[in-house]
Amino acid sequence: MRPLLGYGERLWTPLALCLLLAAIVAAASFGSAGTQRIVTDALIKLVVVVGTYIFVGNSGVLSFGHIGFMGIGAYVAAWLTIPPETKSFLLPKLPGLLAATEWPASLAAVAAGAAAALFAFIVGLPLMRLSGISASIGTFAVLAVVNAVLSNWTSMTGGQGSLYGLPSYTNLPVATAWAMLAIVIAWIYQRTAYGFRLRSTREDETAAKAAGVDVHRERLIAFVLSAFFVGVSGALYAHFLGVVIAKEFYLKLTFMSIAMLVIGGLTSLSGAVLGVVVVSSLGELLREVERGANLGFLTIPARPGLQEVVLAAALLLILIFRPRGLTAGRELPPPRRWMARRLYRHRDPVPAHPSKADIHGSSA
Amino acid sequence: MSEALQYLLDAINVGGLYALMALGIGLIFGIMRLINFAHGELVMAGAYAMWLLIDLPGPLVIIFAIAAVMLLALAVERAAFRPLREATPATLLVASFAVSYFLQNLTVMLFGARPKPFAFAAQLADNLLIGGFRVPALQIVSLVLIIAALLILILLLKRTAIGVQLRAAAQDPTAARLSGVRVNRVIGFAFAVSGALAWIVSLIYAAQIGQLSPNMGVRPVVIGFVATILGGLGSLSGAALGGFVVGAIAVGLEAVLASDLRPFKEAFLFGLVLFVLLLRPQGIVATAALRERV
Amino acid sequence: MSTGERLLEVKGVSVQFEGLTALRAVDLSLAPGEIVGLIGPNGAGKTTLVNVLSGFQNPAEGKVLLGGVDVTRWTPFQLCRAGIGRTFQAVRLFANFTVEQNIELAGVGAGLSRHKAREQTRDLLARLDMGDKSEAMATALSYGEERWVGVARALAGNPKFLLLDEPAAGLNPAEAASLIDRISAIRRDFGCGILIIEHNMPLIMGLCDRIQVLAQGQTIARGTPSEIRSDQSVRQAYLGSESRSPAFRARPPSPSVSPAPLLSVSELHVAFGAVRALRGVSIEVRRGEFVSVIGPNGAGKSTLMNAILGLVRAQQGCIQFAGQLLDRQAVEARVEAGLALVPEGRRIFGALTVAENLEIGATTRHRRDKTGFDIGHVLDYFPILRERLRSPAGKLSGGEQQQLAIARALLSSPQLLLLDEPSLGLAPLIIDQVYEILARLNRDGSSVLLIEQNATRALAASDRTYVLRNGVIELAGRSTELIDDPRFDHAYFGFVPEKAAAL
Repeated sequence: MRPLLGYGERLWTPLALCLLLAAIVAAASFGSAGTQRIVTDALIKLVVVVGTYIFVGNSGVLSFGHIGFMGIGAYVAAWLTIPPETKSFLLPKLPGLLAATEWPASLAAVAAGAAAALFAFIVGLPLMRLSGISASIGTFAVLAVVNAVLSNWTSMTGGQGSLYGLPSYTNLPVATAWAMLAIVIAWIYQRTAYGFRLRSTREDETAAKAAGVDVHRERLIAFVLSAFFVGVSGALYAHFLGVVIAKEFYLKLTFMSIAMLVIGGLTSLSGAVLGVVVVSSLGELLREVERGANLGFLTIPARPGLQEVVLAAALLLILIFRPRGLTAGRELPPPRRWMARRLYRHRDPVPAHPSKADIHGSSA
Repeated sequence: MSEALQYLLDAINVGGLYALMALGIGLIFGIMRLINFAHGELVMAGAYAMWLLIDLPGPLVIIFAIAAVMLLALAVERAAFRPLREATPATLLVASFAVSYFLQNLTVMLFGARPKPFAFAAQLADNLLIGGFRVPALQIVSLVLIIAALLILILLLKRTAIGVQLRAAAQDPTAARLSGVRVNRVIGFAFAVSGALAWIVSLIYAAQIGQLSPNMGVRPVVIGFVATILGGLGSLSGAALGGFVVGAIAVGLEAVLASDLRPFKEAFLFGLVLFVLLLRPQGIVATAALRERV
Repeated sequence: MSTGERLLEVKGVSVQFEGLTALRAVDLSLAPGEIVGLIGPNGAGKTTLVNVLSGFQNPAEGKVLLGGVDVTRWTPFQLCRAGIGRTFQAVRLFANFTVEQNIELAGVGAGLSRHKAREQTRDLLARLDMGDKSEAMATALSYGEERWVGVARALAGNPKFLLLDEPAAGLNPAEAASLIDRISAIRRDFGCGILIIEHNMPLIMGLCDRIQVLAQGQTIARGTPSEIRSDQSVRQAYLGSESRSPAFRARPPSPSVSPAPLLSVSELHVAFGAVRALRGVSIEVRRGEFVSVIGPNGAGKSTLMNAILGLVRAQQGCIQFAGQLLDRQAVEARVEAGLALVPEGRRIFGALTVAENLEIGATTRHRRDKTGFDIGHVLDYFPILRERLRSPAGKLSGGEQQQLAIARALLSSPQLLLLDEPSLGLAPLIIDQVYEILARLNRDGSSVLLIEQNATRALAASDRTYVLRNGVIELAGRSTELIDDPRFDHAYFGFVPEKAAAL
């Protein structure tokens, strides 16, 4: 598996992934409203997973805390977009400034991302000093703290109750646009010097330090960038459901996003996308089975919980038999012919002096 | 005065429960460097077992329920964790998370998601009159159980051959193997014991909340996890101590915090975990196996 | 002429780990353009010193000065940017990166853009004669190539000072010899000051301007190669001091050595990735014998022990014990068959009491007939343990821990007792005690296989000795004859100390 040097390789992966998405979305747009909702939901999850990947995939540090950012994003979107009349009923103690605002959802989504990013920066300053399992445990603690605060700060969040009245902004085109943006930004990030340096810390933290990498800084940058996208996904989710409930943003979503990442392959962007596609598809299939089916001659009884059981089992199997995930950490490879052409173009050395072939004409 | 005594009794009970959870988690971590999230589901399984067996005479329910939980623990070890012996701590963490999720939802599939009333040993809800105080029977029974469990655990670890082998393998598995210790047996023993500890928690906890549900194990395991971190991963006495400390803090917060801040006591607990991790990042998980040599 | 302004210096540095003093008031200085060698036996503190220089270890006392500036508390990446580059004993390449990316990363770490860093990488690879390997994955390289990429990576940071940690480890003699030219070329082309930790004496002697010798955390000698070569204290630091007890001068032959081999290792090859730790090693221990394997650091002695016990897998060769072929047998099974290892560093269970440690040692007893050593019997050999049965083992002194480790191994009633560097970290008087016990055990019929860096002791205690260097048995024979064998120094060190070596 040899990486290439040409421009082709640089753009292929995000392009191919976006094309794949476009194909799925195009197919879905001919489907029923129900199908479109399913695909939109999957696209939101894609923003979550790609966002999480920006940190986890490049740093090698497993984070259990990202859904906390999603929750923060969702509540920021709620504060900014629920019409003031509804807000005054749901959250009577909300400070005046927030109570009066009503922003367009798209702007609120960006604000949600920014808020999550700011929170990630503050929490990440101390947290990114930890390594390995301590860091993972720390991120879990962050998730638990966020969840505890969101569930109990009744005056600001409505506590355990749900906040409704959010405008429905997240339709298929919007979700697709954000998903593609996330993929492109993730790709750009990992090609820059920042992503490159962070990935070296994933390979060998000690050697990276000795080579001049400021591990803390690089991790923090990725942490904040990934929090932005996950925060946005929280807003997207809120505008998709129309409702924000604190307990949604806890263990179930965390498990699902980690499962998607691990099954697809933690260390590649293609893995993140593939994980979402595979797990969502599998989930939909199983949901049909869960509902029970009447096949005429055979009635399969409804069995809720089946989806989750199969997902957990799939994750375990992957961990045991193919721990690097379905993509084994590789990105989508370009088609062969294009690869060969690019390969030869870059292999020919630029002659310092004219060769015989140049003077007498090449016979090739 | 009686209020202070009540708080003390509460703290010991709550702390004891958390200590048992922390010990169950700590036992496995010590020997396998695995943080077993699925331990919560062992607690859940104990409650469901007692519910299923409710028609049998009391002592039989207890015996069969303990056996069921221990068997489940051994099955989980064999199926999910043994193939992952050589895996990284992060992989093990995700795997235990997966097992936990699996078991929770399997329960949903088999028994439905709705909570069921916990009727076993219903007499525990009664109040006893002791020296002029009203004390719920449950508190006395759990106190007795907790103390008994701790004593038996100490006996097991210090006086039996396999207990000594467990402690040796937890400290240095290679040196233990070099002395002929069969690591598989020892790990199985650890899981079985953690299963027994989980059953005790399930009896007390289910009786306290009066019901059982598929995700009832999540809160205890998360708290037990906090207690283990605070007390120091890799040390059993630390785990027990951590449990009591968390219990004391939880009860103390309940007493001390203004009523509008009280719901945040969990946030406070987790904030404490973060604080401890940051102050002693090498200290908490500083077992030799995890320290890297340059 | 280098002024203090341009030096890398270490002054009075001390480092302690959990009660063990790794470095004690060590001074060192390195000027640009110099090549300085840092040598010393195992545990001398050489890597610790390099870790202090590169920011991975904070000294308890002392200072590190770079161009006169106090950089003692600087982090590794800050020191890298200030001009200190280093390699690692374990190389530590970025496994999922290509060679080019490995080196490019160091350029990026030093502040270059990816584009410029790639240019610099191509340049470096061409200069180091490795241009054709640029797109190979780091894991696909041979061991020598891997180490060399590690050096290139350190150079990509444009270091003023280059710290090389055992650059020749695991290389075959030809590869190691070519290092002399390559490292000299680096000094010439890059002008950096180079500090080399090495055990390969011909390399050090042929390459360095000056040499500093560390032993047990302290500097014991400094000078030019020829001065160090003829310095007796250096030779002694490596080979170990002789025992003061006269009883060890003349060792009586073992009472009953049967000709049949108890343990036979033939043509053992052990490799870790691209590192060939053992290349066709054959040794033999007969029943009742006391055999020792000596050799310098990195020779492969511990690997040999671990392979016999089954802790590492051999690629080729076979091990026979008591008539059985030990092929895929697990460690536990080998222990039951009668092998017992006292591991390097003792590895007793510090949190358990002495009695519990002994109990663990006796784990296999109940599975076999109860002959051989029982606890009472063993405590006869180690009376001091009898008094400390209830103490936590972690509180024992080094010598007592060593005794406990041996006692623990004995309790499995082994047919063959193996010991990995029993004298490491012990005071000479304690070493005497330990060896006295071993001699008694052997006289009473136990077979012993010992590996040691302390050659003098091992030779005095054993019947036969093998000299292992660089994964190969260089010399073997009766211990009493080996001491005076003229080939010994060359076999152990790779060169002959007193004579001036012809380069």
